[in-house]
Amino acid sequence: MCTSSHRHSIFCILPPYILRNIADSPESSPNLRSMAINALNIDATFRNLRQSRLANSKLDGKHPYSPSTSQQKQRTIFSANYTQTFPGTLVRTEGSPDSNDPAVNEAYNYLGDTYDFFSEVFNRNSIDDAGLPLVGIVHFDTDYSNAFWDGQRMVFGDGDGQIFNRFTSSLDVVAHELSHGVTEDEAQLIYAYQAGALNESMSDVFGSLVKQMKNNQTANDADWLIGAELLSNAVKNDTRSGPNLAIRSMKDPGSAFNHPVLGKDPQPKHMNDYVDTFEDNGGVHINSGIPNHAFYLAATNIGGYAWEKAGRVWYETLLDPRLKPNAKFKRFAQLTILNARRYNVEDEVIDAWDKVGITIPNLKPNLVAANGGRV
Amino acid sequence: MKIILETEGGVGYFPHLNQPIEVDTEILSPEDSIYLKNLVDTSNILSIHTSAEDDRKSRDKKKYKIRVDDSGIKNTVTFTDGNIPPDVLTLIHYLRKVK
Repeated sequence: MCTSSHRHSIFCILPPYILRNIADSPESSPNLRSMAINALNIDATFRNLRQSRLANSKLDGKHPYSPSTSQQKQRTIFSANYTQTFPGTLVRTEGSPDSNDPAVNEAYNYLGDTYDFFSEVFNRNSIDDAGLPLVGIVHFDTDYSNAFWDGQRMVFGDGDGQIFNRFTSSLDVVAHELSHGVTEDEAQLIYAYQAGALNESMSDVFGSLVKQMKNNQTANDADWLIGAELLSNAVKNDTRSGPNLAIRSMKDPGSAFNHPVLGKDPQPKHMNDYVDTFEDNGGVHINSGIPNHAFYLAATNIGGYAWEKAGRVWYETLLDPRLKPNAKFKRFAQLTILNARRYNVEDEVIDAWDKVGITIPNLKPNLVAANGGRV
Repeated sequence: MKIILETEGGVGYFPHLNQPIEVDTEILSPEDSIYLKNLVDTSNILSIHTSAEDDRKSRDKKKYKIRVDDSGIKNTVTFTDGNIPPDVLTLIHYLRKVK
């Protein structure tokens, strides 16, 4: 894709919006502007190629192949310099040495771990399976206690130092944000109510699996906590906080925190306790506890490494064309069961959903037949 | 003048952290009251008309709703992370600090 004869290496990895900023900036030298415009033209060519492949793939029902010849990470880290201004200052690119700034290194390394997980386990080439460069922005705003996916890049705050540590410090949270990009590229689950809770749950599932693979943990060894590193020592050492402090627990939703400043973890783990609310986009971070717990139960029912079977079943369900953007828990559960057949873990998955209050009656044979016999 | 800041969203849901922050200039110290009124003037928040950007592809962003009531002149504005004018951001930071 990138020919060194006419482009500086940095232009090979910068996304179009940054190239446009360079091209438009009066502070750019004529040479720099020319290189940016050149890179933009080439980028547009490959985007058009990909779009045509994507269109064809939708017609034939197959996943588009990647225009990249090999799977290679392309990470770029910027610092927003404690403002809300994007993209900020370029602080690390692919292959460059460690920074003195731990937030930069954490973002770089954890994005790499997440890329490696999707590549090694699912043979997926980045967020879009076409080698999309990974862009992380650290030091967003001041005392900002959050991380988010903005549709193009992952953004991390430093926390307030009192309740929260910096949000790059948690591998599963970094992987959670990147996984939102994967879901957006695949099922595009609507970010509200049950579909939104499934969207959140997919990010927790992959976030936890990335951490488990990095730590070489089986389903029974893993802690199944999300964001345990985010809570400050002051909160952790507070006896009122309780054990297993984190932002969520997949093993025991509702038990991750109970603290005077944070409140009590509101996540349910059974449909009987489903929370009907307008807050939080219809409770996407609340009711995700139910599918999160179903995944935990499926993984521990199956045993071994969770990414090998349970993770693959969930991933294939995310890619399943029968999963629609407005899917509810029950439909998602049905599809995981159908996909579980291929790995002989159907009973384990049925039991997991049953225990969270989602009972799927015998699946009709025509549901399988409708997919050309493929389940 | 009364100002209410409601924050929603983020990668985690913490019930107590989402509680609205309400600040009344009548009960602030004279210095704080003047400072806050200046921030409100500078941010132009009583007269701007905006709502959160249609941000359908972002996930886990925070949303900020600010309601201002200045002797019956009322306005409500909503912003999301990354789309907040700098003067409004200064006001949000101050409201968090002074609460």
